[in-house]
Amino acid sequence: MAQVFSKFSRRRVSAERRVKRRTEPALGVRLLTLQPRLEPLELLEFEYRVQRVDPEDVERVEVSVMWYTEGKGSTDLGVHYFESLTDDEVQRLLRTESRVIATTLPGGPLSYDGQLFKLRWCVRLRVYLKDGREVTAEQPFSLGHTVGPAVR
Amino acid sequence: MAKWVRLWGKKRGSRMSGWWVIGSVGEAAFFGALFLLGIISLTTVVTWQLFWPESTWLQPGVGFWLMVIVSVSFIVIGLSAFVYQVAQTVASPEMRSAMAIQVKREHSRRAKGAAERPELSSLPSLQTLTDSPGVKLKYRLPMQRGEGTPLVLSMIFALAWNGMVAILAVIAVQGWVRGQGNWALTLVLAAFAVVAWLATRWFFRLYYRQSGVGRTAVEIDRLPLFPGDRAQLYICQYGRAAFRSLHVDLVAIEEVTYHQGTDVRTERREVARIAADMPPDMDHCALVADPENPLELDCQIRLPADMMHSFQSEHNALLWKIVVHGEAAKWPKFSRSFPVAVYPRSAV
Repeated sequence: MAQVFSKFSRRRVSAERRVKRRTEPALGVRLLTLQPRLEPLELLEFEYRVQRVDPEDVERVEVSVMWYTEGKGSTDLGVHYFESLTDDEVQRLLRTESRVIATTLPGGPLSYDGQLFKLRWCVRLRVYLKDGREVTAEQPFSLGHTVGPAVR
Repeated sequence: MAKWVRLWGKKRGSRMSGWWVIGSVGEAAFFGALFLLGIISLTTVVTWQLFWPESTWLQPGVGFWLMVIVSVSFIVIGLSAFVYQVAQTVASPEMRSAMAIQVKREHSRRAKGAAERPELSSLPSLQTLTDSPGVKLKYRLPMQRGEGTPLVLSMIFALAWNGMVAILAVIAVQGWVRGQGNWALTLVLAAFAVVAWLATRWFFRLYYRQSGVGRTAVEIDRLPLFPGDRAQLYICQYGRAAFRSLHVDLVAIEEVTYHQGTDVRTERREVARIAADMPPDMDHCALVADPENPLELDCQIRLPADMMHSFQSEHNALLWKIVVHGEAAKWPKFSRSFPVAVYPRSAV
């Protein structure tokens, strides 16, 4: 009878690294307004949370309400609201359930579905970890109501 | 972080393999070194002249000023690229955008004493559109810049090419007169003469198309336009022509700029066209313009309430313009564009 030995990798991963690899930070962004289509100059309320991460591992947390373009052209973006949390605020955010932000939306630019480019609005949450990783979560919404291209 | 940092990366679509920090640090180090080199060389060149004016090395002259210009350009390029690279590495795109908006707002507040609304930065400026008053309506719209560019380019090319052909012709004729004719030169001259004829024909065709029908003036009763508006237009066609057809439309053009390899490309596409309401008796009256009586038309454009407003950012734009196009007897078809700005109602 042949003797079969199982092959194991020589690279041994420490238990701590294995746990860290398993636990990706969980980010959540939720609009508190009921409908995803908002009107210009309307109040946007949203909450966000960061979970499953050691406060010591977080370098910076940024939250922004912004528009960006996507399509054939290079991406452009414009930030309406921006917040970069300080160390104390990051600690507080990770201890508490969530953080609520309210901001009045601008008069434009409105969301647009074009042929060569589209203009989208979103709330973007970005977490920078001390090991160089960066985790992002987005909650899209529409600003205003415009009809896409058409020959009338 | 990977155990072994890869120094070289491969481009995979829009992303790179390897660790991006190495590339950024390398670029920042290169431009930092360029900046230092510029500082050192400029300091050396200037101080040498101050402390050892009798020295023959780098005396004021062409070499001295060339060294100064090169050193200053090293400083400017090195510093600006270093700061840009560090800003790109340290700050996220959102943070950079927020900082830029903050700086613009501060600048505007200092200049005007009031904070500019940031949403207006993605809308085209009205300044160039409203600086010319109309005769009949409030504003006279400027014609789109660049319409005369092909004519100017064709003229330059035709002049340069014909000049070259003339010089070659003189040389060839002199050779034949002396009895030392050059067949190779004559054959090349014949080929060049064909190109000269085509270039001249190209120029005169463009000239004929642009100048034949005469100037077009468009006036509008309001700017900016808003979705749901009814805008009055006044069209005045100068020159001498009888028109088979004449149309006025409000046209939307999407314009995007993108990188393809090392090239920067721009693509434009018409995405909407709204026809103006022409005068009801227009079909029955004769569309004739002559130098004493230009053709005058009053028309109206109804803007849909749900249309997209004008938009412009660094690489993407939606441009609205009034296009007057038509066909005149004995003349080729013509089309002239007059940019307008459509603002969202909420921007008022």
